[in-house]
Amino acid sequence: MNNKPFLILFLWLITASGLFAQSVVLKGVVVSSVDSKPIPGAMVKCGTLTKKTGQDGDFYFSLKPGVRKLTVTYSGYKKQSFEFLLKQDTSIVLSYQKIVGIKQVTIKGSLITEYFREPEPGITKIQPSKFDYLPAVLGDADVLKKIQYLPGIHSGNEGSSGLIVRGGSYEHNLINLNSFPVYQPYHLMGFQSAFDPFFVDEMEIIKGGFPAKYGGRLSSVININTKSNYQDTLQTSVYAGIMSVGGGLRYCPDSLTGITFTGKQSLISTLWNIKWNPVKFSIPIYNFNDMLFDFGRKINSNNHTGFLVFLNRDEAGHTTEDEYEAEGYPTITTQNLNQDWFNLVTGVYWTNTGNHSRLTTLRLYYQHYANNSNNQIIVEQEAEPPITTETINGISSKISEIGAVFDNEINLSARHRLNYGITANYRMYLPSAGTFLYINDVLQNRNDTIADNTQNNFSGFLYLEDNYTVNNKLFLRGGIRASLIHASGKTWLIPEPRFTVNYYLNEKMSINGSWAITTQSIHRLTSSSVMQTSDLWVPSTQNTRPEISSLFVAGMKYQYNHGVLAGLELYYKEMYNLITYKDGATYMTEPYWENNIVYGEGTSKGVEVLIQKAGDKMFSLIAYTLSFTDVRFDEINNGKKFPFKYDKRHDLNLTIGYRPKEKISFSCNWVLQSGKWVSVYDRFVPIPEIPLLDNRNNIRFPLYHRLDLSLQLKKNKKWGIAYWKFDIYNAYSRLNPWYLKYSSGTFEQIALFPIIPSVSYSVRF
Amino acid sequence: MIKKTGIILIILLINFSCERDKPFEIPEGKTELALFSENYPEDSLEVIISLAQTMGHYPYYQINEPVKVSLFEDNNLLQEKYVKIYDKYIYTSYYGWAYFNKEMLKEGNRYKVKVSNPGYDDIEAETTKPVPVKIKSLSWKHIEGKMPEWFFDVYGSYEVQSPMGPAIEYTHMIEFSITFDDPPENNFYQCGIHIFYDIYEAKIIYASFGWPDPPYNNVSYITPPPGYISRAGNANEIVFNDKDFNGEEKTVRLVIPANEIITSSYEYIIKLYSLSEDHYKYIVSKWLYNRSKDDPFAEPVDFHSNVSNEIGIFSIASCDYDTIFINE
Repeated sequence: MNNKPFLILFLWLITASGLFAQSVVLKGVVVSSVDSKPIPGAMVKCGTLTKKTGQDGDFYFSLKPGVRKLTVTYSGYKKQSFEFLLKQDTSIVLSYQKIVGIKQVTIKGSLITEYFREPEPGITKIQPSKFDYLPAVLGDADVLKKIQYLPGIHSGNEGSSGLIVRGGSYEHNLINLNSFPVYQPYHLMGFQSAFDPFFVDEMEIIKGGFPAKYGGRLSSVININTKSNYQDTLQTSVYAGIMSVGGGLRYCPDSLTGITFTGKQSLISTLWNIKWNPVKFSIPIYNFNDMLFDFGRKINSNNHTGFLVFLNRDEAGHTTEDEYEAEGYPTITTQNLNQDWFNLVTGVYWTNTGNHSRLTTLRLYYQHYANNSNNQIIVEQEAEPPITTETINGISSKISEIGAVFDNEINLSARHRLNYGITANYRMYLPSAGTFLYINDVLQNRNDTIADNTQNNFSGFLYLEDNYTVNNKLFLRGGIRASLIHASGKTWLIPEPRFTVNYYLNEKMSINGSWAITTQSIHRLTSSSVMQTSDLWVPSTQNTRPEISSLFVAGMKYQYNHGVLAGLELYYKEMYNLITYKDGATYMTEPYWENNIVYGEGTSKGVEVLIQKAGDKMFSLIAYTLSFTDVRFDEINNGKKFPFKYDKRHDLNLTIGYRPKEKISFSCNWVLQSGKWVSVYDRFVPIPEIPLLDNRNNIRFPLYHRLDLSLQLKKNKKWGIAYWKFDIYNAYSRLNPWYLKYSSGTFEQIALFPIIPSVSYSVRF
Repeated sequence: MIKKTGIILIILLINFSCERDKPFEIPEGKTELALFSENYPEDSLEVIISLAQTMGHYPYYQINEPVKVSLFEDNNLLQEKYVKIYDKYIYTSYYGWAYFNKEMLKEGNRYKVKVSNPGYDDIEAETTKPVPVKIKSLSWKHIEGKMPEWFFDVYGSYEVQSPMGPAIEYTHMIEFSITFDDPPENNFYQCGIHIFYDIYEAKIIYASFGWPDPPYNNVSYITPPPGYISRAGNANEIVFNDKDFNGEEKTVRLVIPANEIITSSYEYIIKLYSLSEDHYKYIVSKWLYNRSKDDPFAEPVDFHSNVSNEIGIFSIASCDYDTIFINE
């Protein structure tokens, strides 16, 4: 006998803008579990609101998002309640059993401890704050790393938060913070993200079947939405770990206003600078900080406005000194390797909802991004007279962007939604590279493009999309996005059709398919050498066309009992107008980027398997991807295809989280990945002395695997909650190679992280 | 519990090594014969046979049996030689060379070289000796002025030496104008100024005026001239293609800095080599490698090859030359 009072038969989620809707619609039908006939006249109560079901057993509420409890009463039936988390417009069917003496069951536990959910085909949602007990690098929880537990998504490099999604590269991901694009969401070259997980309400990941409102990137859209409720007066979080200290607060002085402020400052570099001489001990220096200020205000029941400021700054440096004798004179060679990044995003928004059937959003934003990388070598020779020779090789990217976005959603009916909108942005780029030579502080040689290389782009996008739930089984989404890109006197008009279908074969099983064309007019150049190097962000120009991708996805999902969900997806992606460096490209002698590149194409295909088991105390996740990604450029590698740098044939993630009691949580994560590819001269001819490279990306790094463990202890205090978190990153100290070093005829693999135990302390009140 | 956990973590931190590097073994690559034969008309046809082997492998693999080198003209065997690789000294038993008489090489004919050895797979390569493009006219003049700035960017003022010391800028230069008619279809050239002068460190540094710059922008490709290494040191020669003047008359102007020694009554030989496309591409890839090999962030270079196993080069250049005397 089924003792559960309510069985949720169907759950249709109609997505609104998600972020800025103050109220959401809860619609439902109460039916008898015996014969599924609607029950008219039942009383459905939610908080202080009570509705009576209509002739069709239907009811309707307009509620604020959050944990909600529905209580149903009807003559001849025992009063029944259930609790769930209301996030967006929801339509439910309550199957009401005429049984006396049944146990009240709350669904809250299983809904919350599932790691991810898919409210709409192609859109995956994660609440990172609920999984802050998962393992972290150096104790700092990272929201973007949590995305890497999903199939089809991995980091290219050890410890990196940068995402490689379905054969794309880092720059192929659009990351939005409260719907504003962010170029640099990371610190420390990608080792951690710049967002406080406690204040991140939800993340949305889209890696296929892109809705038409999204574009400008080939591989994925990641929406990071901070807390936006106006219920809690004050929420505060403070933490201290090995790498950084930080915290934030969300303050709602009334039910109409919300303010979020978060910040982080690196800790260890500050201590190093004070305590030790970085040069003498050849210690790398990292310094980073970030800040987020978000203000939201409800003007009236239909209008909401606000603004956001996000600042993210990093600098890293490493100085080495060498003393020796040259030509009989004492000589000191100092090498300074410096990198820094800066990202400022500021924007305003206004939303308007009309009678729950329309949502209009207008956003204006400005963004500035810069990164610089310099290698300075100073040779001081105590000759007669003394000579100081200084060589600086530098590379830098600067982008300023202003943009305007207008989105409109119209609910034509409960099953039918129309989306349309227009976006425009103007970007000013300054990619530059240079080599400078000074002798005794006098400039001798200069080879650079710094002074005169500003390049500007204008992009405009128009989209129209129809979302239609045909019946209980079939969902269709079809749309078109038209991209107009103007750069260097050349204009491209590129149509981007989008299509998604989802079909429920039965209540447990569904199949889905999608096709999407996407374009991207911003490119990133990165070296294929074994060394780490700086990136150069460049625009589309007359010669460098916007990149285009075509992605087909087909999949199926099966919901087993006991909270087990299994999914299988196949994808095939083609990419065009990719750019990469040509043979021998070096900024030392050719500072203009466009003279250093070649154009080509790529394909990526793969199978993704995902199994999730959600429960009250434990969740487990298995994600496996088998993928093949190749690229081809006419002018390199003899025009033959070769593997993409981050083509990881196998990618397996096993994640388990266990919370036996409210105050203690364990978790572990095991990662197994194929190594990345690098280009290495692997053979040579001694006479003449010529190194040989059979093909680009000819050497694959060894298999990458590591185990991370975490323990979180929670203590309730009078003033709030305190957490101690103990992490062991790379628990069995696998020395996964980060890069290769070649000297004296041999190669060495250098690992970044051996075993790293860490501890952090945080408080919330 | 917090205390115990913290102690365990500290113990882990202290006891586990922080050593983060270890040797990385490059997968063993195939050891194959390699053929390098870049030929200019001044010298015999030289074929260097070597072995391509895994980086870092030492001692080098050896060629224990004599190597058969066969030269064909239009698929007819011209000559065959057996090259005995020195086996007396173990550390040199991996290369050797064969010489063929250059007189039997005819312009416009197709040549093939085949290299065989029992221990390795046979390799072969084919090329055509181009018909030389004739120098139509040659002139020179003194010019006053500065060398273009990019010239010093490339060579560095402290590197340009003359017998009078470091040359920061030149006010006296000699400009040579070499005119020729470019035939239709794709053609590839190498052009240089040679001087008979018995100072082994003497160099002639070029700047190229009036040239629409080779693809790598204001830099001359560098390849040592044949036949003069012991007499004139290394000279720089320009290598270029005809994509911007295909089928037209072209004048190449080369400028050299003037000084007492170079200008006083010496014989200058201007040479215009005609190259095959493979030869041109090989020189370009060699140049790309040389200019980037000291930059750890540079992209690797795949050397162009027309050999069957894609290692090496076989080429025969043709040449037309003219001589000019300069008197002050």
